[in-house]
Amino acid sequence: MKKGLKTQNGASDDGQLMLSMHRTMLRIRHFEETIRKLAASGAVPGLVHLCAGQEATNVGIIAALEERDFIASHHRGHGHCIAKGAPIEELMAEILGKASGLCGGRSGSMHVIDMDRRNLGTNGIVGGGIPLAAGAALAARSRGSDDVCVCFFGDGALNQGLLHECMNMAAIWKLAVVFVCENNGYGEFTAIDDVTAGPSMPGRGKVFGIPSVMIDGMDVQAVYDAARRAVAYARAGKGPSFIICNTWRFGGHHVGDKQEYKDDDITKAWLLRDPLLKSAKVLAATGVASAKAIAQMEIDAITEMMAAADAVRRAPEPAPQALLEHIYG
Amino acid sequence: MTKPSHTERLELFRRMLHMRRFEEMVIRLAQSHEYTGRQHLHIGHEATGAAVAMAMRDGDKIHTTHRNHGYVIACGADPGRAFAEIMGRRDGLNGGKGGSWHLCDATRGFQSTSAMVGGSIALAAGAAFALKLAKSGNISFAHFGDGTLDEGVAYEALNIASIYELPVLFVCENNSKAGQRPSSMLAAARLQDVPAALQIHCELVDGADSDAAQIVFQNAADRVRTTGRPVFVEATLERWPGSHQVKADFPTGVTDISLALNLDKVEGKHADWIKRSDPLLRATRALIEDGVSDLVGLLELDAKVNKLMEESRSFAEASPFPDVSVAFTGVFAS
Amino acid sequence: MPQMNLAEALIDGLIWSLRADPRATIIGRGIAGHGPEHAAEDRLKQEFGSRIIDPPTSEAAVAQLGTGAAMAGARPFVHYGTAVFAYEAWNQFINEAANIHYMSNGQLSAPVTFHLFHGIRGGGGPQHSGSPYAMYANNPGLEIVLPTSPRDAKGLMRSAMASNNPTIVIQNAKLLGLTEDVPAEDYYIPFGKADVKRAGKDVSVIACSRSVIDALEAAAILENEDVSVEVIDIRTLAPLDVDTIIASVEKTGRMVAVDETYEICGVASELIASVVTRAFSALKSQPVRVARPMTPVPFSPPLEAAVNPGTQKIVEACRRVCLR
Repeated sequence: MKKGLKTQNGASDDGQLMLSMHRTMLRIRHFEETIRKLAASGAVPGLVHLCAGQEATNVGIIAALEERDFIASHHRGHGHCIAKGAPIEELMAEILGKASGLCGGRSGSMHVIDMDRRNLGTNGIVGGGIPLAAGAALAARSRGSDDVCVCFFGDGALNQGLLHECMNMAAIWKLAVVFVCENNGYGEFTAIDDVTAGPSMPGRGKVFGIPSVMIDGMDVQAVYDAARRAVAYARAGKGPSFIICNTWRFGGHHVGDKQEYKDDDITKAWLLRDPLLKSAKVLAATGVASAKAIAQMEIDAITEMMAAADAVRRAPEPAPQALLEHIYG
Repeated sequence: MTKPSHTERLELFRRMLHMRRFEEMVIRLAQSHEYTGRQHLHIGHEATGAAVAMAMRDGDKIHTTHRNHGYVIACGADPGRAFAEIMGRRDGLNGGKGGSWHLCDATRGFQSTSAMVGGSIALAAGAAFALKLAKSGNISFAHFGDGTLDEGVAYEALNIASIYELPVLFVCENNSKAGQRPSSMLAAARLQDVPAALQIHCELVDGADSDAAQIVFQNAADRVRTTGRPVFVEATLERWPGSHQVKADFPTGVTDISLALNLDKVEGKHADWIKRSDPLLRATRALIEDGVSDLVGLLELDAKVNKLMEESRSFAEASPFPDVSVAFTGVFAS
Repeated sequence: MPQMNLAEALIDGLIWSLRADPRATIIGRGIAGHGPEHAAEDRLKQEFGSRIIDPPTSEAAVAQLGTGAAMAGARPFVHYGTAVFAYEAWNQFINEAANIHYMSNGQLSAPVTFHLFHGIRGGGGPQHSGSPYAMYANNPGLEIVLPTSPRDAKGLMRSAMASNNPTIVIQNAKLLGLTEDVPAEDYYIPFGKADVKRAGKDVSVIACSRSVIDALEAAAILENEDVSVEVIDIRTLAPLDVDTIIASVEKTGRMVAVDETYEICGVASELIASVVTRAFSALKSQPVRVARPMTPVPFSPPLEAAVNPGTQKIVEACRRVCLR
């Protein structure tokens, strides 16, 4: 069974699409939970940044893409990789630094590059993926293709000059880029309002004449609808769009972050808006899947991730000879 | 719109004249001497530069770009030392170490010139930060061109100035009016849409209209002083035909201010620019028509300024090159 | 005398600086890192919370903010966190801060202090393991400070904040937990004074930052082989105390230079060049350079270990220089 996300006709009320998106969100949620446990047990080198809570933005946006389209992700990118079709075991192996990882274990969580699925990679530098996506869009145009490129970034990147430069270039050259800001309210531990001037985030895109919206990032259907419009716009050669998805990360900035900067009441309110809860309700209400079927999907997801973790834990690390490969082309 | 007082208008004009005659002398020096480096002349921008300088008080700071000669003169720097610096001589403002693109006269708050596009705007935000911390009551001025707004660092600096309420007056000389190849490729409909989206108050002024510029910049500076918040003024200008000189040149010729009353006598390839955009001629005409002065008086002033520039030129030419040993000094402050 | 870890000592030096100079100000957060020592920053926040601002993710403008403020009379301390984030601000560090005193002919200076965490850190991967100080040193106008002990950290931080020049205090985050007695009172350690961290007579190991600690470990191992290793901590890369290095090499005749920057044009190269060009005849054997090989730092632990110029490599290098 193909583990990637297949786009349907495009109607967001297509039950099969909703089911498929729910399944992918479940897989992301349990992948992250598995990683969290592995990190707590010391099996993950370095820091890892989990996206539990943000699944709807990961999945809803990518559901609107075709396989030939590109994405560029950020340090909280496991969900993007999975939504774009990354094989679970190889993704997990990369995070654990194993030889069978997507990048041979040399990159880790923050630099998972998966070009077979046109994933330009997660990125350790805030805003780092933005110019990569713009560049991919420029390259696509040069070869006469209407491939679309999505770049994901967080609210912390809103104040990166590089975003301004790339939005401007995408606008003047009508590049097929969709700028997606996953606004979870914090750049690391800094609240976004403290550092971001201006009354309107979409206003920052509108300045360049870029169609810009702010949406509920916990509602996968709403995210998908906004993405579909933006992708169609880009593919028609009309240029970039800017989508700000309001969302929340259930965990800390990285595993180990005590999250003292988060307000308890606000956190509780967001937990009630868990994208999985919302999606399950829709599926039940529209009769697409029974509660039992949804529960089974979750069990399948858990099983899948646990099996992957077992296999990856036992997998070998890279040999030292691998060190000198691929420095130059 | 009310106009500034006669005294203020004359003072502005005096500075503009200094700026213009300085730049014309720079061209002559470049033509008659072999000195390295290109210069980016401020001709056509004098109304803006002089108005900004007049809005500065003691203790204020200004950061400019490579198109800085006009500003340094408008701020009152010694023209002889400025010429000497442009020629790399020992008695230059920077001892010959900076050259045209890094003129500095710290005694007048003329902090530095950055030759990197986007250099001045964030430095000026930094100066404002320091001035605010010191509770000095002083403010900071950032001078930059329209191309700067394509730079990410400009956006970052504007955002920071807004969220931290830094007392900066952002002066954007937009010399890419419609019809010319623009320096900026900004997608925004108007340059000021960018600072406006960041909640910075914006003004627009015809940068070649000396009376309007004087009022707008004075008001803007006052606003920064009283609110403590940044303000962005876009001064639109039509680019001077010699703006991108590879070889020192006088495309519009030495300015003859008496032509202000006889514009139909203006001839040549760039007659349009001279008639429409030269701020010096516009100011001359306005002063005479409003009875602030007469042509005789203004020509007398002009003669004095020309004389000063000749003397300054002699000073600079007489200044030797710095001793080679100073190349190795002054890397660090003690 | 109180015991402090390196993080606490750095913060203590900063606090003394803020007390001494009302113009001193802090831009950034996470100065004591995000590891177990991070709480050391609380003291700073408690006493000087009003003088700290938390900037947006705008590295270029933040560097320029600090530089421009310094040029206008403030004394900013600008914290970047991971050193590689400051790559976004190369232009600001090099073209502006480093140049201003020289190009204004002394009219202006930029007394700004930048603080960075560098180095191989365990899973940092290719974009979070950079040690840029060799690149900064290959440019005039910047002071570069690399504390390796709590006592040094406090005194060097004081000097950095008091300096009238742009100073980069660059720290390997793995050293933050090192603990020793540190004088409670205010004191300075001057720049350009290397420190003999361990006296010896057979081999001079010249090192900086984390490599000093690795070198000390190597020295302990080699003691059991009857090799007496002298470890010199340069403490500041710019200015560099070449005299102390040469005095050591004249004593031992054998030299190993070790550092975490890359081999080509790295710190170890400069250390060797400075001895060979001035005291060649003192050398009894060919000096050896221990540095990172020319590859990006890979993520996986065994690969990362393979590029790390650690203790074992220093031991081997010392054995090599003793062969003749």
